[in-house]
Amino acid sequence: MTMTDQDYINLINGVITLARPVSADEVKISTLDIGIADAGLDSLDYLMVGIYLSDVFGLTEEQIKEMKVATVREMLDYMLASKTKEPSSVEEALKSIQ
Amino acid sequence: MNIYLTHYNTISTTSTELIDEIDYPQRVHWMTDTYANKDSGLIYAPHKIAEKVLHRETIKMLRDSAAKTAFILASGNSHFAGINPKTLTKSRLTYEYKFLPLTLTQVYAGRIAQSCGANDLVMTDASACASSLKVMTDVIHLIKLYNFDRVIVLSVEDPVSNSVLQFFGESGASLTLEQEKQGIKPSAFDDTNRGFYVGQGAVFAVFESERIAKTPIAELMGAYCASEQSTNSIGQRDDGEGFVRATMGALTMANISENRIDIVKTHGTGTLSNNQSEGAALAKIFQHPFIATSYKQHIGHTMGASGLLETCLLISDIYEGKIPAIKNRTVRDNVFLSHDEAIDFRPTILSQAAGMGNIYASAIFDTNV
Repeated sequence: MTMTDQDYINLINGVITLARPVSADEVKISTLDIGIADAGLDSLDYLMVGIYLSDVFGLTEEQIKEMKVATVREMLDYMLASKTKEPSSVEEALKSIQ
Repeated sequence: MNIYLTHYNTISTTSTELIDEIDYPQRVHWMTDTYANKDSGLIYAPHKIAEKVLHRETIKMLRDSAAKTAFILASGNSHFAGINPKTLTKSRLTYEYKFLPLTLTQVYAGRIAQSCGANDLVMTDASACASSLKVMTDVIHLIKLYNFDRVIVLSVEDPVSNSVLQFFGESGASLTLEQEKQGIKPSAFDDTNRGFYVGQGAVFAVFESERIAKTPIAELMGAYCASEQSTNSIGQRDDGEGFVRATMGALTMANISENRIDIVKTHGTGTLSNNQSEGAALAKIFQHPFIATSYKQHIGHTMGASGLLETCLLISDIYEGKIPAIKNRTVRDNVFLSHDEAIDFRPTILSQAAGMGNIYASAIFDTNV
């Protein structure tokens, strides 16, 4: 199954909920083209979202440490460019990292 | 300036599970879902326990209500970091966490404080098993001396970990399977049964000044922490000096005498050492009748969280009209409860806690508010 932009938005919002379990409602993205800081993600959130997504797409921790991106879409593109696996659905992806 | 407990959430479990693949097999009060998917490296048990008391609605309510607010993470023995050393026997509790910065208590405290809108002060405390009750002195200072309106206290650690079970098993602090096979059950101030299992637990509590408190549950009348002269930093003096000092200090701060205290929530680990030390202290302090109970035999020793968590459980029980007995107690006397007792008034309670490093904390709460 090919995931759409909306699927990726849902996936990233789900990951944000895991990364910020007690205040996820403060950060919700509605577009992939938003800047990381503009989305309300601080440096630790950025790290956590990156590591969660690396687990979803099968990247190594080293690859995550090398990641330098400014927008959510760039983060996603970085993941997709180096992926070793891809979930068949948002639900499956989120279930695998909880 | 009166200070009120206005909100609390607690989590603990009365059920036990045997961890038998470790060097000192023992039962634990374990919420196994806090270790779900641990091998992914994406979960950290202390955070999972904390999330059970960090209710989003409460957090939002606090964030949305303007007040000069401090946040304290009472993290007990403060080994969030390195909690599962790799040298120990691999067990169901072994895991590695990928987000090491978040295992630092002050980093985690800062994140939760921001979520709660507690931007005026963030503190952490590592007064071992006295931690959550010790910070009651901080709550009083911040509100009375530094003009804070609200102090939020979160207390959590994960005693059900390889390192704690190893240390407690080796030192004979917690009850092991071997002792259980000898017929010994968890209890306190008893001639036959004794001791505790360790247990996961957490408490999230909000204290507010009378300026803003709208729904008082109990008044925090006084609190104090103290030490004692001792040659054993992981033990307690037989004469209970540390407990006596902490209690007398709390009574002085509350400006009351011991005859105002109706119920004592003991530290009550049930170890031979604590039975002797705390028992001697209570005998010295109290000249009038009172009753005492302990929660550690019900929910395990939740370590840093235990003092305030057990206090909140007692307050809940008082509101339901009962005081639970000390579990598995075979002796009968007029002080330590061996059976549940009904209560038809709102008592003043003294809460006790003690921690390694000769740390003792006492706090007094009036539930008649």
